[in-house]
Amino acid sequence: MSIIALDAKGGRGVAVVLAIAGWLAKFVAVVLVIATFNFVLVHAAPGDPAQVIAGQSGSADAKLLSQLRAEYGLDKPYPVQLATYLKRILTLDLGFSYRQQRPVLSLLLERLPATLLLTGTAFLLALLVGVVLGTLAGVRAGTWSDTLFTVLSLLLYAMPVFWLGLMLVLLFSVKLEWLPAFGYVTIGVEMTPLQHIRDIASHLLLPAVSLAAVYLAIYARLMRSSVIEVTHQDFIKTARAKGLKQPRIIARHILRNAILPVVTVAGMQAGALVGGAVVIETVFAWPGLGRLTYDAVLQRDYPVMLGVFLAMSIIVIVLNLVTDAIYRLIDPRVSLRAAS
Amino acid sequence: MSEDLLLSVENLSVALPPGGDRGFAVEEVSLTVRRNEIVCLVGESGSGKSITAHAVLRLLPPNVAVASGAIRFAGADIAAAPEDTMRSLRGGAISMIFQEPLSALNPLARVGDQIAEAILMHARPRTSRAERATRVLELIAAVGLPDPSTLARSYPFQLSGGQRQRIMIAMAMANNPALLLADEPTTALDVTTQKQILTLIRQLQAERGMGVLFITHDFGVVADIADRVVVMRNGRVVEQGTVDEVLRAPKDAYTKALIAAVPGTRPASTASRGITGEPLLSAQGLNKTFVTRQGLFRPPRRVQALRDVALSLRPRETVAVVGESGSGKSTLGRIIMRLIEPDNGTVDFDGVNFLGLRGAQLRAARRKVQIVFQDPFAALDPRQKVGEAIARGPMAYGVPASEAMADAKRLLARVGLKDSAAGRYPHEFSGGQRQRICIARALALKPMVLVADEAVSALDVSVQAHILALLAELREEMNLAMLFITHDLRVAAEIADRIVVMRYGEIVEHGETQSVFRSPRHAYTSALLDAIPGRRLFAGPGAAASANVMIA
Amino acid sequence: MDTLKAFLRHPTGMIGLVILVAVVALAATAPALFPDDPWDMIGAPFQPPLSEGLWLGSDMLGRDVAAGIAYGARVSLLIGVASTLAAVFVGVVIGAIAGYFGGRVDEVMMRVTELFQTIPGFILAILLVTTLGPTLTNVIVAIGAVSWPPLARLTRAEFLRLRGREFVQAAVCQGQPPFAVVLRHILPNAISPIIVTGSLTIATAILIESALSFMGLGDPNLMSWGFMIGASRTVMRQAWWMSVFPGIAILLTVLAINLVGEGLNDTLNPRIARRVRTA
Repeated sequence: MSIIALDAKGGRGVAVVLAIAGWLAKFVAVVLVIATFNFVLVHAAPGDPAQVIAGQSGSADAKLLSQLRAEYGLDKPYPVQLATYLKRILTLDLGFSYRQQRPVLSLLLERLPATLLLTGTAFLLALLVGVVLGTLAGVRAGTWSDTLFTVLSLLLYAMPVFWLGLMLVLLFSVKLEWLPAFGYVTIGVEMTPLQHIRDIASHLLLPAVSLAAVYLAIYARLMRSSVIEVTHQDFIKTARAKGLKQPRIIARHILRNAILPVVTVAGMQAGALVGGAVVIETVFAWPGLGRLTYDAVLQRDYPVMLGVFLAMSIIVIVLNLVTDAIYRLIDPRVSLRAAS
Repeated sequence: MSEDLLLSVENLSVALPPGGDRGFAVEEVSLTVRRNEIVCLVGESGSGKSITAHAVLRLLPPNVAVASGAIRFAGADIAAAPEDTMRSLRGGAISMIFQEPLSALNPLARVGDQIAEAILMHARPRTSRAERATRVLELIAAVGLPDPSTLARSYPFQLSGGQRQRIMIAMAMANNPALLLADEPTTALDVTTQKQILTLIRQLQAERGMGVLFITHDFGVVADIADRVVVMRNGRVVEQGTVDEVLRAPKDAYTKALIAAVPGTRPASTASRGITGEPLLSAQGLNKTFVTRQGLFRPPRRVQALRDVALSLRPRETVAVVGESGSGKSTLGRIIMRLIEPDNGTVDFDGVNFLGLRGAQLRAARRKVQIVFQDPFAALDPRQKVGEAIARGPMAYGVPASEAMADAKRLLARVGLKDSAAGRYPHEFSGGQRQRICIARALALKPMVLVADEAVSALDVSVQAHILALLAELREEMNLAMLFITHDLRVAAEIADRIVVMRYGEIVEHGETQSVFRSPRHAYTSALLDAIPGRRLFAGPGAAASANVMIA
Repeated sequence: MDTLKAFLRHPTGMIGLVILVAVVALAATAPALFPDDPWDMIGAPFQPPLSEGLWLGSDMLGRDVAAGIAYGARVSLLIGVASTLAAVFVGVVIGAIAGYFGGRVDEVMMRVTELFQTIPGFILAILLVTTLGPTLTNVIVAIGAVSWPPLARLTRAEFLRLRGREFVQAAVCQGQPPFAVVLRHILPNAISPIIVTGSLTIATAILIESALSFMGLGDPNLMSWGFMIGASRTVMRQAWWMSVFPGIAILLTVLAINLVGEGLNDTLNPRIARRVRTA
């Protein structure tokens, strides 16, 4: 009879390093692919690429256009252009917005924190509240509260994100006047740091809830069915056979096992959530990357649009890293199997 | 006498939810378990044996409940006791272990913690974490596992099946129970592991004077460990008594049939089947390594399933390939069927280099070797009518549809099913019937070789006996050579002319069935033979005509 | 058919079907119910609901909100179904190839699919529509290009699962050629989850389309529900009905499709009944 010798700590350490290496590789791959895609898009757009880069303003003068052509090497063969473009990306030169007269990179960095705050909050909100509600529904499966839960989650799931935002504004800002409707902070008022945080929080609440709602419904329903499924498994019977009470069984045995598929799906849905931020930021005039996208679309400001695409993709990869880390934390099988 | 009586089930009836095929899972069942004895509860699937045990601890599924009767433990009727009382009994005075150790342990918690939890639930006065940790190590050592401190920190997936089951037993022993309920704890284990676990359970039972209610479907196991036997069928007790009484002189017809159905008890015919001639199938030097990629940065995992394996099969011969899990026997079967390709080696079949065939040539040759799989539920397309499933084979070789269908119906009748079966779907049949359909499907192509990959392992014992008998008849009628893959030496004894024993991808021994049983050459073969449940009670192949000679 | 009968008995599925039929009927009869072009200004602006001749009121240019909703149904359903068909086609083919052949092919396909799922789909859709121009076809293409990954994943998983199943292997051993095995055994068993996911994709497609039109990126010649909400955003305080009704229309349609999808799921893939262990 053999014993599988394990050095638990060492094994997991190796696995973490390997995971980070894998994540980095994925990161680089995504950046390169998106950069290439952006490149293709610029050339696929109807019209002169130089015009496209200048922002299709139509009024760019000939001098600017020829300057752009030289700078971007637009008369050179495609592979050379692509190589130049990729090199620029890797040196963080994301181009220049002629509409806003600023480098794209500085625009992105300025707007990034707001979007991170919004998407991060919405993601955590959806996951945590969804898991809690789903667990409650799952352990009370078949009761009237479960039915109510199902109805509510079906409704939430069917709502367009922007419409929910508008309805919440209508209710809470216009009718009840409890929460501000637009923006990030109340301007023109002096505030202490603590008041400042509360101010941002009150502005953040409606947008974050609107963005989180759909995903909350998804995770809650998934958690519910996962809890029901785990409850039928043999090790739960073993737990009962040891004399455990129901609350302990839920907390110690069901929860950990049931949450795994939800974490996986949350990772897969990260892209959709970040995409939804575009609409929410538009509705709530939230000064983030999404709002920037909207303006850039209206102005046909290509460099900015492409820059935002890249930046949002990076946010998604970060969210994926978070969900992957959570998964590994909960499930030792991933890291320990790798190390064996 | 009555202080001796631990458990007394009196006229217990357990009702099933309405709308099923029967009203009661268990009907008017009475049995007793005393201190310091092992009672085996035997039956096939649907007998209600497992539900009876679950009812004792009130671990029944949601819609299933005790309808009438009493369950007395140490005098008090616990069938009507409040939930608090039940909880204090569970894992305390009464413990239970289950069949499938991997799914019975929380996959995300260390096994040491899971054992400690059992202690935590019942220890009075309260124990400290350190005290519990010490106790956990003691328990792990007590069930025969070395290096307890490392093991306590492991997760279930890191352990083997036998190790996991020992952990389950350690968990069950944590609070020194008076009564142990064991629901088929060795059914999912390899036969050598099964022997170890049975020895362990007997040892623990003797040390602690426990009463054990041991559920099983295997009369061999009953012969090995039982003091008393209770036989159940369709929810009712049909016979009970001491193990001697029931095994030597069974009174009920069903009990007699069950005992007779244990493979390897029917005296094998010693008359030679006249197998001669050049091998029909000859495999040499087969190697197969399974490589699974583990992402970009980790080296791929390599598992060598077959190592230089050679095999030969003569016309009309039956060769049994015997091994435990991981022996490579199934891989060998799949390579012969060309479902997997080996890394290297040769297979000559019917004078042709079988491995070299491709495309249309391969398809043309496929009809000569057919397979019956282990799981009759997975082996039939749920959306295809049974008759069509059988007829598709000949149709693929040009036989017109109407003729193929007529042949299919004839085959169905031959394997013991009604003509009307052809128009029905697989889910309308039982496991044994589905396996018959699979046999019919395989034989529709009139093959020369039939590969049976654990074809009877998933069936109840009585059904198993019928299928084995059917196969024995058919091989004579159709001049079939058979490659019979199995983990059960008793089955091999019953049906095979030659036996090949495999372990870790290698062949460790091969020879005529009789000589392998009488004088095994390899230590592993001896271990396998030794592990056969009930061997001392039941005869091996070629033994005297009386099947019930007890070699005490 | 058995499944049809089972579906008709499924309560939530039937509710969804009823609502969906109502929406389709509305879309089909829109020209009959509202003979005027929805872009026509037929009344005074800012009329509240239940005004004379304007069931749901009028918008800031005097257009009939009810007509907008009826014609909007045509747009949503058309785009929803068309883009889903495109996504199903691409997704199923990619997933089937990856699942059936495995190995290198599978790896490459899966990397591509993963990539598409990492990219925020909505932004990709915006980019595509902006680059190629806001026409009906481009919107359908853009939504389809963003919706195929989950279908590919599902198809691949099903094919992988079925390829290893004994009844498929048995068919191979029976001498059936690969094409027949796929068509006769794998596809019929894989199709049900694909149908269910496909129907749910129609719902997501409608939501994406409404978001695109909300941001002004839809076909400007088509009156769509998202557009109506977007156009009335600035006057929401005074005229709530211009935002609320189109939103409810989207909500009901998507809800109906989801309910039908769940009903299909329950009838096509009956969960292996938790059979009571009677052993």
